[in-house]
Amino acid sequence: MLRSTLAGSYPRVSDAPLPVNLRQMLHKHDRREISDAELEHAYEATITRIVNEQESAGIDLLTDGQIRWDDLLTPITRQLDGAKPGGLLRYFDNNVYYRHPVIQGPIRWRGPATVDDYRTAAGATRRPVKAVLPGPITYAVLAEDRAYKNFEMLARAVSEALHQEALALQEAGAPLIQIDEPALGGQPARLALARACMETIARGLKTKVGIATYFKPVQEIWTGLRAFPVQVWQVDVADRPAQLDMVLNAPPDGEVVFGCMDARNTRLEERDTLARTLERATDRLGADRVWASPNAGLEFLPHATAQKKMARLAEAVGAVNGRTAGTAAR
Amino acid sequence: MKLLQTTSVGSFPKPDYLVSARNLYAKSQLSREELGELEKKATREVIALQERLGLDILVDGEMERGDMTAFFAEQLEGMGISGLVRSYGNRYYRKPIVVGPIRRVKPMTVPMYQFAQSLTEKPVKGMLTGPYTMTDWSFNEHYPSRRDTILAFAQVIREEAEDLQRAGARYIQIDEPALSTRPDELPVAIEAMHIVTDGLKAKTISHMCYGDFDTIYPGLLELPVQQLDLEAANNDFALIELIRKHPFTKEIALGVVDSHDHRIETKDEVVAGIHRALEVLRPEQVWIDPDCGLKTRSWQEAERKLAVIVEAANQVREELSKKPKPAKAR
Ligand SMILES: [Zn+2]
Repeated sequence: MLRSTLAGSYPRVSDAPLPVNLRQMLHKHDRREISDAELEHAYEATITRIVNEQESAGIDLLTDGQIRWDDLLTPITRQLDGAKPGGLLRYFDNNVYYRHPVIQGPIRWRGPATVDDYRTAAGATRRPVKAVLPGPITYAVLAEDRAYKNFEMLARAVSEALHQEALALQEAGAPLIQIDEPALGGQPARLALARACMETIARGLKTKVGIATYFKPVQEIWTGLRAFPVQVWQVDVADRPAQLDMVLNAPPDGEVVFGCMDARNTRLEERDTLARTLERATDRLGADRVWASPNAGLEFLPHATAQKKMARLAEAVGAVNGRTAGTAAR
Repeated sequence: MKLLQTTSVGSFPKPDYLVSARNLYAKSQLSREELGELEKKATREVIALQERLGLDILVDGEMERGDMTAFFAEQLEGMGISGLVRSYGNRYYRKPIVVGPIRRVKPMTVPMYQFAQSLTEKPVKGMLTGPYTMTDWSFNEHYPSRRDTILAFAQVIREEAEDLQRAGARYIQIDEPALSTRPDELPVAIEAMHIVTDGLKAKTISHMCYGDFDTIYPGLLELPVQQLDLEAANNDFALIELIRKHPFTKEIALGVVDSHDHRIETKDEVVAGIHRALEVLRPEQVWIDPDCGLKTRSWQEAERKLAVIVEAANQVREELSKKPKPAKAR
């Protein structure tokens, strides 16, 4: 059966009133009007709300929404010896910012960065929840390396740390650990290194490992990328429709998450357009190997739009599955 | 001609009374007229400050603008404003949405330009946001492609530029901070800028920042403006090395103090920066200014940063006047 998932992030605040207004709670915490414990409660309540919203929209594989993440890299950076968050820079071709990691010494993993929120999300639903981590190539591309002064050494050191984090997530029950490599499409010369890094991260893991690409085109690297030692590949086919044929002409040996909905534009996709794309994928790969997803984290959108898009995605998946079921019954 | 003329990029910090007034206005507790009076008061202060410091080319400080894209979006037909999207951390903004054909109903920047120019004998720059950046920082629900959107914005910005020129503006700056985000789109950004600037008599300038300039340089020199306003201080004058490799063929307004850092640069630091620039640029080519708009600085920081710029430019100008002119033929 064709299933749906989200790419990772999810809007944490809304224009509509919410039971817990995280934005306000953070302001209050800054002004010391609420305690750490109260803020913690607000975070947990927000994760639970986001999990519930995904569930009621009909998403199959959920995320915790990354509501504590200021950006893709900082949660990991804060848990690494040898790295600290630096100044704000523009995040790829988005009008949002990230703190670039400043590497000051040997990278060492101090302890889990993402496991608590993972457990909160998994505890709030009976559906599976996936875990998401930044990829080592993206991390090294966006970092300011004052210590190794060597891209490969930095990427390998980060991979070792991510391996530790992945083990902790596996122990917490994550059925899929998704490694986000938005920068990889722009780094064709580093594909072999990226592959070696993925081997490091996935070493000895029993749970599934996936690689997610977005923002940059991956046509140039697809031949190598599809042979990576992972079980799941996420590819943008919304902003880059040519990548649908790219995958269908040379599918990897595993599951593919088709980013068929644009997470960076408010225009709502038609259900039938989505369904047609997904049907092409299921016809070629078999429904069990296909996932429908936005092409990136939904946090680029206002909350109300994200909700509509998520519901539309689930509708399209339902339509495809309905038709397939109809065919099977005949 | 005066060498090393000093200017600023555009925005100034809003005085506290204006920040409070904008909040009240947003809550409908203050009328548009009352807010407008305070915007004028602040503009008078911005002009007076620049005159006192001895800057050569002035700006109005953008006291009536919140965000450099939303300000235009709010006044253009065919545009709306989204719900909250995250910029970074706990900071959110509302992003423009193109919902229909973009049309200009009335001049958007001319009244404030005229007001500011009426306060001073020195030239005040007309300030616009470029078509590429307007597109890149908006959602698009209407036009079929990014290119169509960019060209539609170019048309209305052209109309505005003509009105500014008619109102007496001798300098028109069309900011394109997003220009380096997708290097493959540089040709369409250039095409759009032709629509905006071709045939204008005013001196045209474009500011860009947060850039990976190496990805668009020297192609950037094809942008049809006479002057590029670029940041140098916040990346340790890396730009100079780029120019050393490929000569700069336009005028440059060189950012010699970091607009996003609280620290006030010393005069010696700024002088050293200008000296570095003059290794690869002719003094006739160079204007001196901060890296970027000053709206995120405090009023005192903005004042002190601009004061250092003027002092440093004065010193280097003095040195240049004492240096014997190199013999033409040797
Ligand atoms: Zn700027």
